[in-house]
Amino acid sequence: MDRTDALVPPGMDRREKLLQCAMLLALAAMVQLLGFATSYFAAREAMYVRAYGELVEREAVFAAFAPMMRAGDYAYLCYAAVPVWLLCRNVAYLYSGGSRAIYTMRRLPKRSELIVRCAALPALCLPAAAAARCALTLCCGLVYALATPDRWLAADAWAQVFKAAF
Amino acid sequence: MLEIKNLSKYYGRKLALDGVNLALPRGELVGLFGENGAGKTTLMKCVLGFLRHTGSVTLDGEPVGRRNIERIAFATSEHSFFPDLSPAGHAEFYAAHFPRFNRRRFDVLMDFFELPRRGAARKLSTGQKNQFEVVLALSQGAEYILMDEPFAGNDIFNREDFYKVLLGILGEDETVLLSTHLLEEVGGFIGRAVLIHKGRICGDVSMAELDERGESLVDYVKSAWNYRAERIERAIDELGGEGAQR
Repeated sequence: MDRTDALVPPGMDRREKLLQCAMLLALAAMVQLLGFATSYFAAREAMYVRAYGELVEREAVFAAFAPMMRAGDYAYLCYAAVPVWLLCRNVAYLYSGGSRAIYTMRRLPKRSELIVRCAALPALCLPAAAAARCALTLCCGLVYALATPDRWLAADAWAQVFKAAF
Repeated sequence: MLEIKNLSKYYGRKLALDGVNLALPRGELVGLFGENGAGKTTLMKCVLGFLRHTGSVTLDGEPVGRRNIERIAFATSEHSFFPDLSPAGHAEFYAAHFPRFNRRRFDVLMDFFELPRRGAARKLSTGQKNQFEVVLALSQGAEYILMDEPFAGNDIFNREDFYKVLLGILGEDETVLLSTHLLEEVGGFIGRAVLIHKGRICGDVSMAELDERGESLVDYVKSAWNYRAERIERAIDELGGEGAQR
């Protein structure tokens, strides 16, 4: 028996559950990246005005970093529902299939088994999401700080990136 | 010894168990009888700590809890297997969590009932689910085995097979508390009958005592429950003998 089997109620397909969590996390990450890309290119475009048929650079400070990550933040906020949904499914499983497996779980000498098997994976979703959000925010921050001309950036550009990431 | 002292249980305002006192020494096969809603299932669930109650349940003087719960097994008609786990997976799980899991008994009983080892337990037929439930309870390695209507849905041949196996495999230290409505069927092999009526123990007798008195289990139960056969005639009379007119 694989050790990760102990992270889900007995009989439940842990690979399927892990895959579902990972896919939904990937979706949130994709929303974060797309949101950043859309906002970043819009901000770059906003740095120019068209005058007499030509693009002229404006004398303005480039858009702040944090608002560019907002779509991603909302996506991760939605992802927070995943562990709740997973926890509910794990508990519901113990009452499903013409059986009340909860009786067996409650008779185990190791009482923590019930909590671990129902809540471990949902609990892991949250740090995984936090880590993914942090890593991708730093990646986006690198693009923001390195791909943007220095003259456009505010003096505290790196500080903005770190503040948004952590 | 499993001792239940002054156990009471309320569901809201409804009193389901009223000061139940019962002692189960080791090595007994005890039948628990009562009408629907008498409190048989509630009593078993209280013993296992599934339901909050007042009074005490002790095993050799110690309250039933984490340290000794593995000494009690439970087979219920509601079933308690993991629906997507195979019977073989159950054996692994039980072996990992119940230190005295009897693998040999599990294998013998699985073969006896011709139950498949593979495939999700939810796919078993109702009768097979009951049998599997009983197999798990008997293989757990517990000294006290609580069985709550374990054969609901099984045919008579199946049940008779089970009684024979149960008598044949139980060790001297194993105690079975068997809740059922099938008085006539189990009367021949239980050693003691406990009757529960409206949440109260209303009878507790050894089968040897009944034999001595020349009284059948059914008659004993009827007298203990204050069964009034004349109610049937009265009901038929009140209906004007509709059946007789046909």
